[in-house]
Amino acid sequence: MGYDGGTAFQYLPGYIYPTVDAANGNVTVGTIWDGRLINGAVTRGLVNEDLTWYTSITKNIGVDFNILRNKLEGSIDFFRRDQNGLVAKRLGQIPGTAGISFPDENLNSDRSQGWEINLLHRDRISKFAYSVGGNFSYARMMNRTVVQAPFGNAYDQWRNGQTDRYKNIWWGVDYAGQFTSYDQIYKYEVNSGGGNNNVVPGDYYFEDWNEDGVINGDDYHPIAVYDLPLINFGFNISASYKGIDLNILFAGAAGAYTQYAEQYAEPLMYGRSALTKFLDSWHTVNPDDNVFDPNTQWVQGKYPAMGYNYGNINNSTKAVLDASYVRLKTVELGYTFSPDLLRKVGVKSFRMYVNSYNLLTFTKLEGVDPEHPGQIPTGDFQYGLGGYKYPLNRTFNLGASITF
Amino acid sequence: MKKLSKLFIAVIMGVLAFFTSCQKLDIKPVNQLSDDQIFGNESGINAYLANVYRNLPIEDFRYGPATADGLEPSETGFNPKHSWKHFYHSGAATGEMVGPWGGLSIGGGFGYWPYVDIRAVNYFLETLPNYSANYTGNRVDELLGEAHFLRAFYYFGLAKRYGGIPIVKTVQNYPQQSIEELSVPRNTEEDVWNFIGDELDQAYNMMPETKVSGRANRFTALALKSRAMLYAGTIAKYGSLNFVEGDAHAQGFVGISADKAEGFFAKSIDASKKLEGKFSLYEASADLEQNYVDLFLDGNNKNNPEIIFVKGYNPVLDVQSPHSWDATFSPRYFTGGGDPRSYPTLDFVERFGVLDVTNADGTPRRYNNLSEVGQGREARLKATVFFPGDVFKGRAFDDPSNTGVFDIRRGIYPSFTGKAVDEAYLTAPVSPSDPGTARPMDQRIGNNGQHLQLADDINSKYEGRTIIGVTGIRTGADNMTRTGFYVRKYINYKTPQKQVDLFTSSTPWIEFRYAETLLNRAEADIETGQLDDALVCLRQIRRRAGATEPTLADMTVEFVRNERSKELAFENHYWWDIKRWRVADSWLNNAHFRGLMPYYVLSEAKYIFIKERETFDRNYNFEKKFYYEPIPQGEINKNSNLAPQNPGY
Amino acid sequence: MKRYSRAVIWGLFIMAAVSSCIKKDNFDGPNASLEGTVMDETNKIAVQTCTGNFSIRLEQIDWSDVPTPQNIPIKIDGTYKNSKLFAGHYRISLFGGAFWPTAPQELDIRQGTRLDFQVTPYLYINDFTAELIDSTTLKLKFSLAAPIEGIPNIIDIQPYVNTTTIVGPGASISQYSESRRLTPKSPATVWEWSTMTPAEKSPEIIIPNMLRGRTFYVRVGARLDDTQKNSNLSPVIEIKVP
Repeated sequence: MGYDGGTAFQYLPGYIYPTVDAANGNVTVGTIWDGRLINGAVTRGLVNEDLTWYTSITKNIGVDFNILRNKLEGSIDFFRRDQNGLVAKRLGQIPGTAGISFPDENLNSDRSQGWEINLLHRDRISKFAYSVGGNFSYARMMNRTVVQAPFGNAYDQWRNGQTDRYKNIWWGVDYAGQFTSYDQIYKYEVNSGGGNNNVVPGDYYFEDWNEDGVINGDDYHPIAVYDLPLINFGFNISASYKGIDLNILFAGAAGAYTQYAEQYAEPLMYGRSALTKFLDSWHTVNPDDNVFDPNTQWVQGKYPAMGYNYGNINNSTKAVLDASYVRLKTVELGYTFSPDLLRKVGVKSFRMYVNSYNLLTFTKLEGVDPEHPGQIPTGDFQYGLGGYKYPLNRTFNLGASITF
Repeated sequence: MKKLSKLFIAVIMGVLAFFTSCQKLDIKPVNQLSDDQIFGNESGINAYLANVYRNLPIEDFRYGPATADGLEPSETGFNPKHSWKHFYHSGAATGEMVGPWGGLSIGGGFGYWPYVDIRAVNYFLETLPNYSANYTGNRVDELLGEAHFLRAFYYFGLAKRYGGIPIVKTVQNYPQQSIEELSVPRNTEEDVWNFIGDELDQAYNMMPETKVSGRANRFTALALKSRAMLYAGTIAKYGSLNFVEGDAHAQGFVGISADKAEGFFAKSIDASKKLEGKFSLYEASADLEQNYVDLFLDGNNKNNPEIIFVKGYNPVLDVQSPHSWDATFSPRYFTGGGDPRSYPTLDFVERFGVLDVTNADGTPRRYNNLSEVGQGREARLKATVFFPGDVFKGRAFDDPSNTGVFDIRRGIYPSFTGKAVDEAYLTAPVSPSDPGTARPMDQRIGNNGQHLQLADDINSKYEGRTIIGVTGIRTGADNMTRTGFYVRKYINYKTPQKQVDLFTSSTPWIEFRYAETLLNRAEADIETGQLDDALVCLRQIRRRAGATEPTLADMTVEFVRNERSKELAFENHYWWDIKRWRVADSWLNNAHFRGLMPYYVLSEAKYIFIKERETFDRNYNFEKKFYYEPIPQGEINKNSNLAPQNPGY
Repeated sequence: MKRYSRAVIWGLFIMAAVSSCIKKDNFDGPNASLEGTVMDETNKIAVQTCTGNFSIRLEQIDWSDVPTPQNIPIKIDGTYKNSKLFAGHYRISLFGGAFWPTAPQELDIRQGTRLDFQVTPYLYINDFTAELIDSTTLKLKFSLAAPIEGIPNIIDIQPYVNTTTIVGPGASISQYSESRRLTPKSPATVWEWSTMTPAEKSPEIIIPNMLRGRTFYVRVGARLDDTQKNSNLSPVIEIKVP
């Protein structure tokens, strides 16, 4: 395939000089003797003279068809791409006491497979021509071989094993509901800290998946997937009648999940402001009421009472939201003047149009653009910028295309 | 003709190209160094050792003791990435200070397994003798001695955390050796400490006395031996009384039998005594307080007689080199950026003597000014901790209204009668682990006076006076003192205010200094009954500190431990000390620490100071299993011979 | 218009249908379970404990000789359960807990496996009564008994008061609990059972200033100086403060 990974000049033993801090933008580091920085040299470790490019094997089987006298055409494809020889270090298998720096070796492999279907229907009824089409695709990535340290028990292997495992699995707990009364809190069987003496009505609680009486990392199981959507689809209608043409395009994705971050996820972050949606929250009837007094009256709301630690909902089905969407990407209506009219003016062709991009979006997310990545468990702030990326613009255009 | 000349030119070009293009693209990159270039000359050796020095387990300003309470895995360990959160200090989980740790969160450590660096040293020891022809005289021996010191330092970092770990003295290779051969078992803890002692003996015998700041010489080896053998001796003596049962203990992987203690103490005293005459305490100035402050800022000075080994920082060379100690331990009022989060406790300050802020009948003394509470204290105390009312001498303040005074006030009492302890407590405290019952804040009425006024904003006023001071004490956030004190040790008072920010401090970290050696010697002396020698050492320490002269009757274990805690405050020693003395589980048994809270009494126009719980009232609880950290589970999975795991995990 | 709305409905339908039927993981999850009760050997009722005060340690010995241990925390009623384990052969032991040590057991874990433990605690807290002597002061009386001689030293005895049914170490209101604890008279730091006076073995604890109009759950516990500083606890009593 030609993709090459791994450190340069791996096959040569020797020393890296000067030493750099890879976790820190490769800044030169060393030690200071008598006030001068002495650059360091560190062994490259073992060498791998056999490092090669990845190999990628792509298989595709499909059917292209055109039936019903050109009225219906389309294609269906199944594909599988195997990449072999992905670069990894063998660290996980050799005892650390040997202190050996392993080279990159072609050890891992992965697979991406899926299917895609395209359909298009065209027809013409006297002067009215139209076409309707759509496409739908599904792709899933999985790891085939991943070199990892040995696992301590079967649970460890299920929780952390990557060999022959789907990629990008999002682990978390299930959301179970909100407390609605003090009685429910006092009788609650799961200890969420301090014997639940710090819990007030309106707070979220989670499902004790393994029924052991506490909510912790042992309750994590696959709840979603992250990164790029698994399913992409689109739908297109175009029609034309005499000089008028209309083009509508929908596009969407499913199988994507995201998590709100920072100000979208919780109010009063960093002691600063809040989105107005958080005003709809549980609160006591009088602001001075003691929240722990079981006689206090509460007004119900959507969000928990102020002071709730929203860190608790991270990686749960409450915070990990379905980011599927359908978007009306393009609507364009145009009119082409007839050539006879134009010849008088000396213009070869003249088409006028009005269109709109990203006119409507249907999604369950509020306030963030589903086409932008949000917070994911393995991404840092740069990945989705905390959800603060500007959403895609909705634009309206009016234009003309004139040929002289 | 045209065609022919074109052809002719083409042919000539082709022939020329043919002959000149046959150059094999086989040139090695020129920045690849080989063994010959590294080991063949002094600069190569320096580069190789520079990396080993950089990775030494020196617990300096930037050291992150554990991943917890807001410190990410990338910010823990040694030389952590982009770390400026120096307030995650080991002293802030153990009672020297209180800080951002939620409790005793550092017990489990961060999984230190530096065998890659140990292999680098082993490789050095095996390869350098092959190149001895390139060096004159004893240079090769000197360098090998240095390598023994470095190896001992790495094993010291491992031994104090885990007890017995595999001693790897030779270079191991894969796949020449099979995984079974590479699965080395643990050595007993006693063997590891003996190995460290032997390595340092070799280092001492082989290394020269040349002084290069930041580089070790034979005296550094002695200083490390003095420390390491003392650790081993106390682990032997006290570890046999207070330990967790388990397979690892029964098989000797953790714990040393008590009869070995004497031997280790003797080795420690021997090493300490060899440093006598070569070093002395820093006594450059007659002003004892200023002298003690300057000691820590003078690490780069080769003539500083107390410094044995430093780790340098330099603001110019690369972005990550400077640290942020000044910005993260001084209040924002005095700096250009950064916020502090760790503050010395009253329990630490009272090691120097109980503060006399109450009269004989228990009522708080009235003061006209805040600064009166700091007067007449031991010079070393004032040089280690800032008191309310202290002036931050030496630094230029950009804002003329900023006079550099530590205006630390917690609130205003409209009036106050009665005893201080009744106001702050429902039941009086005895010690941090027996901390009494605090009076709830809504009942703080000055013993039948009016409600205490507190605030979170420095601009809040009560009857025309600001309620809290410009540098503390807030009810809310922790960016101003929680205890009434600020750290003074290592704070560079000479930098102008605007220049103090994150990543702008270059004060070197003093890893070994002669005062510690004297304390090591005094402690080992007292443990073995040599009280006269202990008196000699402690007398020097206390004279330099401006404390009263000790007598032979003072030479007890408690006295020398207290002296050590005072002298080596905030230098990352206390955590290891309470562990090796096996007192951590009783010192930190649901412990609560206190601060000294200054209040203004409106009706009397005077200040009072009340000793009470620090504002966050956190609770610190040491579990006995934390005397040893757990061997990283991933390593046990790869090498089952590392079992048994340390007890309690 | 019709086409437009149909397209939208079509899109939403696909979106919903597909999102829910994506397989998130291709490995089989754990489906074996282990549950049981930790019982007192003599009177065959569940021991008095609080959530997480000790755990049941599982080591999967058919996987490796030095497996990574898994812990199941104990619940407040003395039972434990984990319904998401992998089937296999395990060595099961008690990790922590103020009991005399018991031997580990080995068994196969499948779906619905049960294993009960029989333990003897270091201390029993008998005759535990809690009553309000005036409207807001609570008086607790109890007596300690050690079934087997040679127990570890006792560090302190303290009440635990909480507003919920989960009450014990790690689940209490410190103003009523930690602050009211009994400690040995200094300079002693621990009580030795063999030297304790009968008065020290049957103490009384007073908790003043209980909040009116609330319901509290109260128990007492004695903390022992073993490696994990575990506590033996009394039964829970519900107190309604008028």
